Amino acid sequence: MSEDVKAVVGLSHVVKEFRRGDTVVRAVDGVDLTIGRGEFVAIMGKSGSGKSTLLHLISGLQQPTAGTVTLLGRDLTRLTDDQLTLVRRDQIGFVFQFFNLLPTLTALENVALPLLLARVKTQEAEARARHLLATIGLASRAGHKPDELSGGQMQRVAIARALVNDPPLLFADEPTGNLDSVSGEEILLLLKEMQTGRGKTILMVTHDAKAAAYGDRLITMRDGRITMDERTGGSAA
Amino acid sequence: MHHLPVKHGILGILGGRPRHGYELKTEFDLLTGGLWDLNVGQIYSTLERMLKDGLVSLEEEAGSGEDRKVYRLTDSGAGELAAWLDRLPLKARPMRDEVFVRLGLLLERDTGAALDLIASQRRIYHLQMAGLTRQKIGLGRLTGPDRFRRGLLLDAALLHTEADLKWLEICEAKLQGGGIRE
Repeated sequence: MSEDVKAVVGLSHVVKEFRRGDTVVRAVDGVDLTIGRGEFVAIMGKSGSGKSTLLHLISGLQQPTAGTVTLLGRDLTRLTDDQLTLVRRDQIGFVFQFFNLLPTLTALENVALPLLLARVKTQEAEARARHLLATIGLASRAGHKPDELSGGQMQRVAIARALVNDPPLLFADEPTGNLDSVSGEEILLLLKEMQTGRGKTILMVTHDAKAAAYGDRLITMRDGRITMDERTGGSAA
Repeated sequence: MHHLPVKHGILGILGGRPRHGYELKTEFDLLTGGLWDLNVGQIYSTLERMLKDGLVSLEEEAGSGEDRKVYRLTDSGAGELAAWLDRLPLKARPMRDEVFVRLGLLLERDTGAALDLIASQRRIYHLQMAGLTRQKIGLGRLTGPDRFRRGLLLDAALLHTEADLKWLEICEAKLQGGGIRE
């Protein structure tokens, strides 16, 4: 039981099928998985391996064809769409490959947006966003729009936006996929810091082994199944 | 024979100032970011040869005991070092990994065993990359040129391991797509 208390993500016999024309594609094929609080899990696999679908199932963006998905002790398959929206808003920060910042808003406004959507007063939302931007070294860029920022800066803004609600979980889908290797490293170090410094549980989907090496657990997927689940963290090199 | 630059590493270190034998091991580790498991024996056997070739000289400092011996770069050693630093770009690393040979033999004998080898080797490489990455994250505690140099060496080690990993993925895909008897 003590392990279950620490578990933030639980998948039990999860299957996800899609219909493509006349054929049924099994994107996730019977996955069992438990992720504990404060883990940094990297999920690797080729495109079509089911890794992104897995992330969508864990975040309640898609419902499984069979099996159960629990997040922070709640069975996502039993929640309504409105409840799922709230879970995503309050419990999960999302970071994407193409940053997904709103182009007409400044960095500060982008970061404050989730708070405004959660009806936090503008003044407080912007103060929190400003503080967060300062902690990741972007105070001087607060008034810049995304097209005035480098890729690495945009991704840092996106991470600040993902964290402004202070969610316990951070999900990243190819967060370095659109960055040069030096900016990518900065993003990975920032994610690592969010794990070690702020206790976030991080799930990162990537096809890049160098990025995956920042996690302390590596899961590889093929044909919808987990083919490797290895603790890579620890003191031994 | 691929050149192991122990000799030239030592020449370079002694180019800074004369050193005790035991200092050379520490300095060599700093130079190679601690990624090169060189033992003291290799240092001393190389120094033996360098003494014989007149590249270094051995002087006794005042006092007594083994650790009073100081190695110094000779003019001939300084010339050798300068010539080496000036030399044309090096050849690419040779493909001489034990895994290549093992896999090469297994391909014909037993596809299943070859796939098993690939899977277990990939696991090792992933663990290696995670370990190197932890070292890289830990660099935050160091400062100055040592940190910079060590960071670059860790990048090199990571990229080489990644290349090995990618190669194994290709091997696996090709084996699963029909293999050697296709």
